[in-house]
Amino acid sequence: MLTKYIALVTVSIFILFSDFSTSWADEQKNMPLNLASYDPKTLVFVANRDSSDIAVINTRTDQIVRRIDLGKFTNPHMAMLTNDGKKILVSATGRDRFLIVDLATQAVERTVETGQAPEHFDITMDDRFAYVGNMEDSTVSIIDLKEGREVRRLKDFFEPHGFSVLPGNKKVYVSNFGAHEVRSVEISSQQVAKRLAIGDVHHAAIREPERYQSELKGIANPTPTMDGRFIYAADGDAGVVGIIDAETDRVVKTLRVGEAPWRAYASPDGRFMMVPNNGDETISVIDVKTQEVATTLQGGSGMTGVNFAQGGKKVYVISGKEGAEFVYDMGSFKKVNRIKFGTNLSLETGATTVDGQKIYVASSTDDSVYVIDSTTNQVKRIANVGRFPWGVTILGAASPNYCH
Amino acid sequence: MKGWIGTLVLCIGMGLATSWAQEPDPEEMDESRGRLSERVKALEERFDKLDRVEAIKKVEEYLCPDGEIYDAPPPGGRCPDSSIPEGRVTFRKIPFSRRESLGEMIGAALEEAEAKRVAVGGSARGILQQVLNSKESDALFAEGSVDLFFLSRPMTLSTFFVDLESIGGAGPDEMLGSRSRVNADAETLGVTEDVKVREAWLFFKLLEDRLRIVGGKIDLTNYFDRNAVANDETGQFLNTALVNNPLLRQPPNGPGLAVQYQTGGEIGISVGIQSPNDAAATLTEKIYGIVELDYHSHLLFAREGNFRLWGRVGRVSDELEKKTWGGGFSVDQQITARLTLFARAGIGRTEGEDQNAYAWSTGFQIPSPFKASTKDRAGVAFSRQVETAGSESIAEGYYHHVFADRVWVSLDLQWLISGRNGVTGEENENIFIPGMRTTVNF
Repeated sequence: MLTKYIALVTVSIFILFSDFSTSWADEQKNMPLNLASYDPKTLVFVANRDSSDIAVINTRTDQIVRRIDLGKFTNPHMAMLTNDGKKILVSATGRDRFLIVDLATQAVERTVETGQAPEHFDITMDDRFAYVGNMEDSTVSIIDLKEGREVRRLKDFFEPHGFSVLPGNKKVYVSNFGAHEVRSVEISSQQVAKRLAIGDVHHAAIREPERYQSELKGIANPTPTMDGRFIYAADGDAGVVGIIDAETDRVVKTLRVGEAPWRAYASPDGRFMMVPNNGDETISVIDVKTQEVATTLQGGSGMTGVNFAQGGKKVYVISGKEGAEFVYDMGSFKKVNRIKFGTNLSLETGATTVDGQKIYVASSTDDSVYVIDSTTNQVKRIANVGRFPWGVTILGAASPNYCH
Repeated sequence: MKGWIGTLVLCIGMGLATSWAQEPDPEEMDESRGRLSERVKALEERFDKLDRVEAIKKVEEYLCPDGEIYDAPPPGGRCPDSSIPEGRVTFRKIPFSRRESLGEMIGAALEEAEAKRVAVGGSARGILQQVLNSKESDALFAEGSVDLFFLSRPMTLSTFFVDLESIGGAGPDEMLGSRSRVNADAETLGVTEDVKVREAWLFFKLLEDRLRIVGGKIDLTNYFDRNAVANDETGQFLNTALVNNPLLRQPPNGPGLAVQYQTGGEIGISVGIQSPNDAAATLTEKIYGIVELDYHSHLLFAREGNFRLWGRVGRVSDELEKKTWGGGFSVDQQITARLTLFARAGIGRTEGEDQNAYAWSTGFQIPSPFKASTKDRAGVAFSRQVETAGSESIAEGYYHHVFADRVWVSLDLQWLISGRNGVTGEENENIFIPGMRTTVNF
């Protein structure tokens, strides 16, 4: 009798425990981990293209503190926090959507239909509008972030790849990677104000039509100077950087740089623009004050990003194909290091922490993020951040955020 | 013990049965259905995106001094600062909304594979020319030629090319004996009904296509003294003096080498050497050498122009002991969207002659005035050459009609204003030579 009683109690406990453990696990899974309790400037957001989520990394511990699911097949390309740090904005390339995610609940709050294959975007300083480039149908979606809807879709672009909203919320510049032109869009009217030609490829193209008609490398990004006075636009085919006066919308100067320049990156002190040239594997350093090429550095292959650290004293250039970072001293313009992360890696984008000490670099092929300590150049790997990490962003980063 | 086991089985069974017997929650079902629909929709969207195609198109744009561009001339034809915009071409990547079907993809793959094999093509021309107002009895002349081309790519950045040609009929110069030669097509090999190798060469592209080297049995006029509107007897002017400068004095096609280098800007330089005749043995001793400087310009009228300056030294093909030199230029310049002018001039001398020879020509080309014939063109030109053996002036006009992509018909009229008849020794004066040229490419 006692034996039967013990058995009955044991089984009951077993059944109860089973239910409890399942419900406990579910609860843990669904428990909102309130990211709002963090200072958003201490978090790194990594868009994982193939796992369709965002990994959130705490820069103090370098631990993944949350994964935000964005939905099946969303394949995010780029993420960005609103300036108030309350929302995460995501271009969901796979589903032709723009997502507004609430940071406190980590839930997709709004889903906005865009044109085809939205990739890069920028937002106004007041967090009101987002300008999203739809690469496949060459349109620009203007999204009202407050209302969570597309208010206008501008047509007839040519792979609108890069976006820069100027301080003061008057204009946004859009670069066309499928053409050799930059357009300015007036924010008050939400209309294209001017189309500006960068470079002059047609002379060379007349001699070598096959080269220019088989592949087109236009303008990846219109990079504003830190004061927003000028826009630097590098044209890949022409091998030049056009400087646009943002007040008058005039191309005031065209500088010849290396072969196949990618785009310009502004130093946080506002003194320089760094332009990696992937054709001849050099980096042109442009003095913003004189608007001349100050020096040309030897770089690596497949350069996809530039991150300044320590207030602009050091600069880290991502060599995506070499799986390495090239480190330069901006005082002497000398290469001081080459940090090889590993073999068969493909490095994508990076973001610098607010204090300018650490750089987080996404490595798509091994699903990792590498953290560089800019003081010691020591590297730490954060594995399994998600599948195919691509865009990395930090609110208030010490070096302007970017994507590619 | 058996009872204990029975109780255990009963408890487990009850637990499982309870969970299986639970009725599905309608809300859960709706949610599940919603998730499934969302996934189906996502899959549909992704399927719709497959096989998108893009093309890089050459388009015209109008550029103002401040960098602003327009797809069409700005209002009033002026920029905001009242200046005239520069019309120029640019490239843009344009996505197509049509999808590439699997059949098209297979077709493209087969085409690509085909491109790696030896390509064979050809061209056949027939030219009828009537001589009017000659001192001899006026006559109708027929000439025909056939070319067979073989082209292959033996390795990356290289091309091997062979052109076999046969020509029948000498054209009106059998009777007129003009200096300029009124049928350039009959002059390329000399009259032969045998099949001859007209060209056979290997071509390399190096330094990102800036350096081009061609060697073998070559035709130097393919690389020197070119002209956009007066350089092709199959589709432009038929008179030899309007195909190349008569004082280029290029030897007949033979063993040689041509090197062309583009600086990367608008300037190019070319150097060529060739045996003065078809015998390779003379290549190292009595070579024909030529140098040309090219400048591609958009300075005049903001439109395309080409300027070429050349100089040559060598030996007379059939009198190798005689040295000869010469120099000249060839210019073509687009004046408006529909009008292109050209000019050529040259000076030269041959050992044993007591004066310099000179030659010049000029003319224009316009596209068809008929909207239905956008590929047609017309041209008018005048040429004069003065040499020790005599001088000659001719004028020519043609209308070239593209009947189909591979079939062209041209009407041609030459006016032999004055010149010595090399056959009879008399003067040719005001002789008219209307003609018709038919070309079939295959």
